[in-house]
Amino acid sequence: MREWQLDKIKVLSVVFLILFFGLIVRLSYWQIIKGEELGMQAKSQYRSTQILKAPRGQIMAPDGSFWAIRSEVWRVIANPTKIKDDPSKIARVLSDDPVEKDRIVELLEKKDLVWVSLKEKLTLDEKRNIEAMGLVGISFESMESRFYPEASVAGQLLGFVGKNIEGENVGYFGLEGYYDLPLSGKSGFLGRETGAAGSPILLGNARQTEVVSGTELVTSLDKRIQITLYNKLKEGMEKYGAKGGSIIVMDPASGAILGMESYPSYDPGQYWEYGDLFFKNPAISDSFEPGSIFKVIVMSSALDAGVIEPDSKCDICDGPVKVDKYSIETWDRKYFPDSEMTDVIVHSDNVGMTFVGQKLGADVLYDYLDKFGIGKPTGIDLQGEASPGLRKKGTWNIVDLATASFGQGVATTPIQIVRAVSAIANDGILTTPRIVTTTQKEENVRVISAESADEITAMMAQAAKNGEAKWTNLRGFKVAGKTGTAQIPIAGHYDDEKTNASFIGFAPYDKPKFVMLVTLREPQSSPWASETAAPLWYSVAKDIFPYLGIHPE
Amino acid sequence: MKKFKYILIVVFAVFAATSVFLTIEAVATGSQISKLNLEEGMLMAKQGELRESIVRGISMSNLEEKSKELGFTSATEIVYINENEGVAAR
Repeated sequence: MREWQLDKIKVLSVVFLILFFGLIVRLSYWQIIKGEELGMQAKSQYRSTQILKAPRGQIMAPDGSFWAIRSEVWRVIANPTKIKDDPSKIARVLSDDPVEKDRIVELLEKKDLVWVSLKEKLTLDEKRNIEAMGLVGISFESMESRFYPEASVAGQLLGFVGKNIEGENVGYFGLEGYYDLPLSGKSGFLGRETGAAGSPILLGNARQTEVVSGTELVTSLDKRIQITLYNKLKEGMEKYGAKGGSIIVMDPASGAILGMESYPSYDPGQYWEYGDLFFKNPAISDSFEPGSIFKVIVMSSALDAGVIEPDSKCDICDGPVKVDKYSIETWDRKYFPDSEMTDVIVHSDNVGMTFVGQKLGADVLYDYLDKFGIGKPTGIDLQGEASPGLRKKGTWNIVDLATASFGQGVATTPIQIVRAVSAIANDGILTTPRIVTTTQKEENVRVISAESADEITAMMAQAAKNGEAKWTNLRGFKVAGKTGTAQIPIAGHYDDEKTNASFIGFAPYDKPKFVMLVTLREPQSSPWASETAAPLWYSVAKDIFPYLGIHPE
Repeated sequence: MKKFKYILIVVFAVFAATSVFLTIEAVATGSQISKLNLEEGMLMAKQGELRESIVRGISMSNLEEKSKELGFTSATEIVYINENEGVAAR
């Protein structure tokens, strides 16, 4: 071989060596430094992962109709880099509002973004209309939504589904809040290899976690009763000029809530249009001094403790009674010397109840109130239940005892009162109020004897027939009831004009099918429950009686 | 030896053909699954829409409003009638 040929080979060898090293360096760069990033990019090209969302459970009425169903709405999304149409034309399609149109145009002009959300909560029809226009760069994403067919009826009881800070659906308040976990179910996952067109490769690796759908809730909430409560409460609020009101209807034997309505209410399907104040359910969250409806609980306790009999005579009922520095009077300043206990309930006699309270004593009264569930949560399956506490045992003075005996100076919630009076209607056995039907057997507790329950029932029946609300009584129907007009405490004293008016009752008193409490906050037409809450109670009962098969005697 | 060679060629050919066939089938089925998934999504959306319209249609609040518009009103007074009792014994 000639020398120049050998030199050429050497040069070439050096060139190849340099190229080889260059190649090694470049490959090391792609493999070691950029390897992970490229691996991820490749993976994203051939692997598709999808979160399979669990459908939220529906809320049903006992007749199989719906209180809340899942529904689907759509989000309009755009890829500004691919938009070919005029942004203002797209904005015109999506909104009529000038401010909203400007916002959409601004978003579409951001050419450095590939995903922008233009509008949410579109119906399928609206989506189809936009799709038909064939706008390039515009697509749609499905979003789960909630539909409440009865709108504002039972709004506070149902609660609503909103978004948490991570943008996930979460139930708030009422049933949606209380049963959020079982209603939500569990999302699944699907990971598989896909081809260039996005179709799955069957021979490739696939990983799947099954979706667990949300539980369907079957409630005891009767639509017919609930709508009656809604309409009647609305009418009553206007008629009596009250600031707020609640009605609760419960089956005393099972604790099933047949209806619960509060006003003002809101539509959970449009919850964002209302303020936070609307979301709280006054029937379980508002505490109030119950007034005279509390007398039936105190009287039944005294009867059960054996300190009085229905025909025991009140020996202090001939005039106002002095307790410490306070003078206790009757509501109408009429006095009935030597009146029997039945008369004390019929006349709603505060002096007579002071007599009963004194006979019972503070500690025994406290124990009975505790057994009746006053001062603690009832355990109802709704989010947001309040439980104003009772003053500690052993700290009650004689004034506390006297005022508590006629329902002032103690705070309760409407649901606590309904539960306690249900125990009277249920032969002395206390149940737990429930909205969702359950097969689990609840532990029921006896609070008073069946005889005591019968005695107080007879007194309540007399009160309904001959008490101050007798004018509104539905003749022939076996109603046991009691009115309650409570003064409202403000800044350490009671307001002279404002009252809370209530009526609690059950029917038929020999085999009760329902217990109902009507509460009106600050009625303007009259401060007295006998002229506001009682007629509203009977107006509702008049509609419920034939529906529940309750006939006159 | 020659016979063995032919058998080997046939086996290879069959394997190659089967592998090509299966690949084509898998790709075609994959795209079919993709189409079915899309169709399922559309049907689910349609089902949701129909369910919502049915539930909206049978909503008691809506029915009540409609009945009022049509002139139906609830009974203002209910009269309870006792069963006739015999007045004379046979």
